[in-house]
Amino acid sequence: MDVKTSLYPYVLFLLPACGAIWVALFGKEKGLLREGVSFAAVVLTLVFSVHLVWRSLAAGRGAFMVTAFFRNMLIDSFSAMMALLFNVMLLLILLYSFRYMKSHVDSGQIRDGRLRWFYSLVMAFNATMMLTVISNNLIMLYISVEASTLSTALLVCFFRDRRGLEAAYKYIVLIVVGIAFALMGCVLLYASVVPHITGHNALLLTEIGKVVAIIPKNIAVLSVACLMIGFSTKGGLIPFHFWLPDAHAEAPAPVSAMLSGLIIKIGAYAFARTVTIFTPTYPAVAVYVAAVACLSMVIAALLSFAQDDLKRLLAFSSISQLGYVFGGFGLATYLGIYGGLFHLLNHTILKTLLFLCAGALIYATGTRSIRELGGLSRKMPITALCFFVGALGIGGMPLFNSFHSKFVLFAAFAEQKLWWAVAISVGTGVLTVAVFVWAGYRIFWGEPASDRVFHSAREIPLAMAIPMLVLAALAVFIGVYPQALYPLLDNATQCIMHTWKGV
Amino acid sequence: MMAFDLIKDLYLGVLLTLVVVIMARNLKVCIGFYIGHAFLLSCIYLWYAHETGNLMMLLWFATTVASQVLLIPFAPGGFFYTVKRYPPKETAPIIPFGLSIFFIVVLAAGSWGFFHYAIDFVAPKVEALQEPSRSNLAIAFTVFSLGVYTLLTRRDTIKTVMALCILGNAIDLTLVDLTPGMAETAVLGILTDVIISVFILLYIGRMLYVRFGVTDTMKLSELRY
Repeated sequence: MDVKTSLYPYVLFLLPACGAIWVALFGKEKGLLREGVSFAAVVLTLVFSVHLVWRSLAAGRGAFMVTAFFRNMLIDSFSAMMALLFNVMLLLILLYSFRYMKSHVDSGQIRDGRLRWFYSLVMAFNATMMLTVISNNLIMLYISVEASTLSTALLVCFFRDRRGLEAAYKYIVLIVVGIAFALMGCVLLYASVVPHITGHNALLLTEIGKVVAIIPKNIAVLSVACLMIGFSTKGGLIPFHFWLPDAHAEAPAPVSAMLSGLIIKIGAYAFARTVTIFTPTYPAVAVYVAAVACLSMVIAALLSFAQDDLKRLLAFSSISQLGYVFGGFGLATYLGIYGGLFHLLNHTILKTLLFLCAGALIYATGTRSIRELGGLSRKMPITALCFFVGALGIGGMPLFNSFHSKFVLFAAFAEQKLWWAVAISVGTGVLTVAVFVWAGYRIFWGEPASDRVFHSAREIPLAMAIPMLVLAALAVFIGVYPQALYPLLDNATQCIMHTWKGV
Repeated sequence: MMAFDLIKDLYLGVLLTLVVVIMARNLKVCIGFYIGHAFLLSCIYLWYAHETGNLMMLLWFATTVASQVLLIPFAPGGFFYTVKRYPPKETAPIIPFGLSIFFIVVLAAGSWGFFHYAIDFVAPKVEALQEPSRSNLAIAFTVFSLGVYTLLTRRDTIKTVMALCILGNAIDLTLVDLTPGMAETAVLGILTDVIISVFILLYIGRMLYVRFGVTDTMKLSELRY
């Protein structure tokens, strides 16, 4: 493989970081210096991500790799794909936020001046996401995962109401504790590879992959357990999920979309880069991960039935769907990783869409209680359409994107003869469809429960509808033409598998 | 031999000051002992810098003094700043004093026994099997368990933040004990000394108290429905 040094990793990180600093310093008033700079920073990062994906596709299967900072930063096809996905989603969320956050300023809930902190923190979060995807260093990965939590904690309690503050408090405490376990795993791993790898190379993920087979078994198991606890907490898997429903529900809608669409994927990304290194040497890890993943799938799907708050329902669904992603990665087979990546991508699109729909309902009616909503399809046809695309998509219906990824994951579990995992994941799919069809029907076609809510409802402005329509179109496009993503996913899967071999 | 005694004493000092941090109800006393705990911790890095000749350890010592001994307690938004705006006494813990001491002794004895009779199980390298590494690892593990114990049994928001700091310190102790002679160890320790989370948590804790009068984490129950 031809490995080149490049400035791209720096650019991917520094563009949003500079955007964050700029907006914090000069974004006091609405306009070019605040919204304009935020938009430009994301668009420029996106352009670079597109270029990197283009180069990775041109290079062929797993053959693309650029490094920087003494190989502590690395971009391969997997990183490039994640950077592209994250930036596309963030761009759409940002476009939606311009109008959505203004409505909170207009209603007097927040002062206009505080929006500079909102956009600055969103940019800071983007910088931490980019740092995560370019990290080839164990500690840099830990720092970026931790930083992504800190940059979003103040966004969760942006309205400074009691529930938001509670949610943010739980969010930081639980994730910092979880990530402390991941750090302990990193320290144990580092201490055990030091005799075999010299200098700063002992922290490089690509180097650690070469010596996993010769480190003491007990330490490997302990490291995996610690890393699993840490990154599963970030990913919101049961039993480490307690922060997730609260933070998702109480954050402003665009932040909820970021949490569900992007932040929990950082946990999955870190998991794929670290824990999967061990699976070829210790196949029992796959069964253990599949068990935790299946537990998450089914329990969260059942809990979602008990929710009246639409955003909490979506949050529990995220926990359930992340079970599929972790389960696929944990198998560490080609099919498992491919399915995990495919479902990660699809879930990002669908859950961003669904949280934006929830935001649209809050914008239009002022409530997110399913019990209080009803009959809104006549008043909000665009939102109804987008919600149903998201709902059917997340349920894995044919002609929608996650049908294909779930099918690959079922096949991956079956390939490993984990029939119980196949049964649980299929069953969870049925439960997911049921809960979303029930919620969607109740909100858009059910009898209006509150006249006040029904009569005050109105369709959202075009500025908010466009990002939702784009996401819905993406979900359907991938559903009917999944082949478009095959080369991208194949390249990314090869990259993860190369890491085990220490290429 | 003298040097080994000193490092053992430092580790023991770290543990004993920590016990006071956990048990004391007066928050200013807790912070005072936390400063002592953090200072002894940084002295351990200094000792390793002297013993191994690893100059990067000196930098780790300096950054730990700056962050744990000075910034976190004394900076605006830090522990003392927050305590000034808080009730002076910690919200009563879930477990009473006597039982708490019993649990702490059990945890310490358990990890001491484990690291002396089953060290092979967790030793990532040969050096960890010998003294003083083995005893120090036992203390580092005890500190980590006590951090988790504090998180689970203390209800006060400030104590919860202290518990997070203790977890971080325990990981640093483990790190320095396992790989003391390497420059990368110090870099790793310095980079992972994240203090921003402490300030953000204290900020949210202050907001919860000033706006809603809550210092008790058990009362953060608005979202349980």
